[in-house]
Amino acid sequence: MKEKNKIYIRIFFLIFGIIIFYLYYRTELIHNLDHLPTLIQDLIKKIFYIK
Amino acid sequence: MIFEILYAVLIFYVISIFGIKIFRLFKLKLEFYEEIIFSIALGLGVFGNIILILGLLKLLYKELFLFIIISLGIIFIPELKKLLKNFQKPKLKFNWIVALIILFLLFNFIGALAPPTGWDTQKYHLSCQESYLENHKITYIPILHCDLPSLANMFILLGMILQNDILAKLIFYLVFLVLVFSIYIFSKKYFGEKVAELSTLIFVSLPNIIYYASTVHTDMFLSLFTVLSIFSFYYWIKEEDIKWAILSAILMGFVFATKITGIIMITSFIILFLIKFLSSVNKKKIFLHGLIFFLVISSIVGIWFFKAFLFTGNPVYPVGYSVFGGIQNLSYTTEYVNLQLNSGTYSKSIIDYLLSPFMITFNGYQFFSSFSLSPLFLLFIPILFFIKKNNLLKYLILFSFIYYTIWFFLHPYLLKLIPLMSILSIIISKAILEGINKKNILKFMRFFLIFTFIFSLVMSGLIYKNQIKTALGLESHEDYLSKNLDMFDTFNYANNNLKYENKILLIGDERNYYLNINFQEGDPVRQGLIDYRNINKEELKNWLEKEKITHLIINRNYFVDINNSKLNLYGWTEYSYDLMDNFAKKDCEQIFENNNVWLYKID
Repeated sequence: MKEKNKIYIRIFFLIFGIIIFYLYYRTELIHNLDHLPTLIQDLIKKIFYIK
Repeated sequence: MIFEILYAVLIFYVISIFGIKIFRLFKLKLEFYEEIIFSIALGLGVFGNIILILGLLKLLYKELFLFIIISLGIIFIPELKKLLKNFQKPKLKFNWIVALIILFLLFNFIGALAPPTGWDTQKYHLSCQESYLENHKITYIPILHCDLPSLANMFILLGMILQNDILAKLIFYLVFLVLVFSIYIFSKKYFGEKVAELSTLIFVSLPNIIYYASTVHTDMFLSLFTVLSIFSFYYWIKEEDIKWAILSAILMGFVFATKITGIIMITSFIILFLIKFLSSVNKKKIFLHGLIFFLVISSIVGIWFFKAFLFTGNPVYPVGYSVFGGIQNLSYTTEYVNLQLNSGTYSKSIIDYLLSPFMITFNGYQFFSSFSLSPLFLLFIPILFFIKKNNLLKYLILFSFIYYTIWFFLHPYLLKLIPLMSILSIIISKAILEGINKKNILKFMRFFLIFTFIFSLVMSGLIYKNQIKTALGLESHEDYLSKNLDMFDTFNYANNNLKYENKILLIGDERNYYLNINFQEGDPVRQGLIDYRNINKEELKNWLEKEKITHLIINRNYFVDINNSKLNLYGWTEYSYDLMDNFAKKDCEQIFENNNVWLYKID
């Protein structure tokens, strides 16, 4: 495989992965926020911009 | 606790040797561990059906089951000796993946030792078996879902006959271990040790598996039968030996006998048969094998349909009410379930189908689940386009695609995707290792894997941390249940202060397992006796009198904002809920309340 193509594949999977993980964990954490300690709740709210 | 563990091991030993004897009838050659796995699955299926027959013959007595288990245990000792002689020590190297797998399994084991608190398990899995046990026979029980095919539930019955619900949970946990082991063995055979370890870890770290593996939900049975049926079907495709087709059909029959949603698997196999038929030279032979395949399935599941027909007049009760009818009036229930199915954000259009892998990952809650699907599947499946695929991998991908498509259009509940998760774990493990190691392009993606495993481990710890004390015997079951079930104290009060002859109408709660007083389900979609929407208070009173209802239990925790613009919990409408609520508050005497779960005495 050409080096250029490898870079495109890497960039695709990196961006794809970040988007998927962001959306997945945001939903999971919103739904399960109540089960977590307050300190972690506040941290998560800041990271994911949850009001 | 120790006693239950030893009991579970004894039962599993008997079932395993029993299965080995059945498997030998096929005269099929397999590797040692593969043969053991197939044997255990066969043993479970046949033994489950024997329990059903004994139940129908009104023979549900502890002494009889004890006699069967102990005598078979003694008879099978020579076979056990032979098995131990041929035992091959697994060549498993200890590494961080194996350590994580053990940790996940340990958490689940803790869960298996705690009293059951799952919603559906209390709603009907356990309560139906408890009623059978009280009657010493399998008979009609007026709880919805009792008459659906429920092969796995026969092992709840076995556990409860011999000891208690913890024993039942341990039997289910052992089935889960066999499933995990089968994923490891099949992955190792076809894709090597690394894929085997990774696929096992991915599977045990999936949120749905973490939660359901330590319960008496039927999904681990279903998954085990499905995985083995898929592999034996693959062997049939390769060798065209009718014995593999029959074995696959028997296992598929067990799938259908375990859960009615096995229809998704069977439809998938019909399509695979068609593909094989069209691509084969000897079409007559394939047609004949196909015919035998579906005849075997029908004969296995037939007994379950016959049982339901005998008790309710509907072979698949309460499903298919509009076609077959049934013992209760489920018109409103059917209407409600259809509305519920159509109310999901996603319609059954092609666009929604194409978007569904994203939606099921980003918001699995829309698919009637407590968890979304792990993001690993969506992230790593595209790698499959870049790697070489052997015949088995192509077959597994094809099966997964067919299954997923049928699932989406037929019954898109995420829970029903669990049997496919074991297969998907194998597929993506192969993709991950090819992508990360061989192509050396995607090394950085290890981060996503490690992050997922750590998150799952924390989640598993959070789920099971409350259960450690009770599992180790440091907290009484009653205290544990009181802390973890909102309605337990009210049920407990009723158990201790009312007479069994009293009759309680249960409102807002379907979980009846811990209620030991005579009861009638009261929610509109579950009682099938009266439509609250068309009656006034006087008619309600008359109906309660006719049904000899003496008390009401109302769990108000789930009744938030009842209004007619949406589909409300259990089919309540503004009018019907106000009718019941006002009746309880004005015409009944409140005698207990805890956690917003109220007990009233009808004046």
